[in-house]
Amino acid sequence: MKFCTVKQYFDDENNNNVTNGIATTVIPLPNKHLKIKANNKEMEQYEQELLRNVMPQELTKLILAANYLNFKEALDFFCRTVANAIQNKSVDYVRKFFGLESDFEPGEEEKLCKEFAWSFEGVDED
Amino acid sequence: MRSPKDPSKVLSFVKMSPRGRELVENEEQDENKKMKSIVVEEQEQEEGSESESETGFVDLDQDTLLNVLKRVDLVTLGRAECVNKLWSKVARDDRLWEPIATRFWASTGRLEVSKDYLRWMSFRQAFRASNPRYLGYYTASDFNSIPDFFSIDPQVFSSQIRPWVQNIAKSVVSIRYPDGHIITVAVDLGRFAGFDD
Repeated sequence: MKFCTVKQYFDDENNNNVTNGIATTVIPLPNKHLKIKANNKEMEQYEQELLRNVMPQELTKLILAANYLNFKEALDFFCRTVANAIQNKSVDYVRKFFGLESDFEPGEEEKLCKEFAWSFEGVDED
Repeated sequence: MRSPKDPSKVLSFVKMSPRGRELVENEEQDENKKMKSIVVEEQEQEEGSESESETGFVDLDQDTLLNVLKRVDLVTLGRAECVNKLWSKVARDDRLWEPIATRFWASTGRLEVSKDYLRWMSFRQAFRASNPRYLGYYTASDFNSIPDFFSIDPQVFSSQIRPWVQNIAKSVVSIRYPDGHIITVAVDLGRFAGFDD
């Protein structure tokens, strides 16, 4: 039962977790998913499209919506999309993507950079 | 969660060279320090929330972040530890390091173990011990070569040497350092696996 929470959603008027925009993207997914389940390439294209057209903020909201709706395939799909988006990117890029700031103490951050110096080779351009 | 570091079962460092010992000890000390600071942090930090900030960004909670991070590669995971404190905590989860470590240790079918020196480590610790480069404390020039390592089926290991390892360790790995000495590591999901730790 993929949509047990959807009924709840429609019943619940005061819903902060899933805005209308998100719902329109997430809910058609199972149909699309079923249609192109056999065809991996189309899924990849859809993923590319999603990455290009959707803002990072929207992407994280999609993840949370899929999580809230208990829709595992969508959740996996969006997580995978985000993972591909940040794959091999720099730390700053990741921070910008998620709207995060470093909350380390200055000494701590320096120590971490030293410890993970090996991971900063061959970073993709933003 | 039972502690793998049972003192009566961990033998002394007697036959390890000073440098090798340093490597392993540093790693362990750091893990202990981090563990302590995480416990303190958890008391201070609120539960990961999904609140929307003014900028329109929504924060991911820990489980979702874990879901994302289990799909990235090793270098991205290393960088993830440098993003902020929450990411650092999640990126250190041993459940992320188990597949990385086990993939890295190709099973060679050899059995060369240190009969006198057995350590317990988490996957993350053991992976880094077998890759000094990833420890970050030493430069490549400190090592003539990467240590040799080979994984051993815990059942094989236990039947030949240590009966009590069989039911507890998920992996057994022998690491031979460039200077020739060997440590044998019983590997299990470390205390960082699971957020209720």
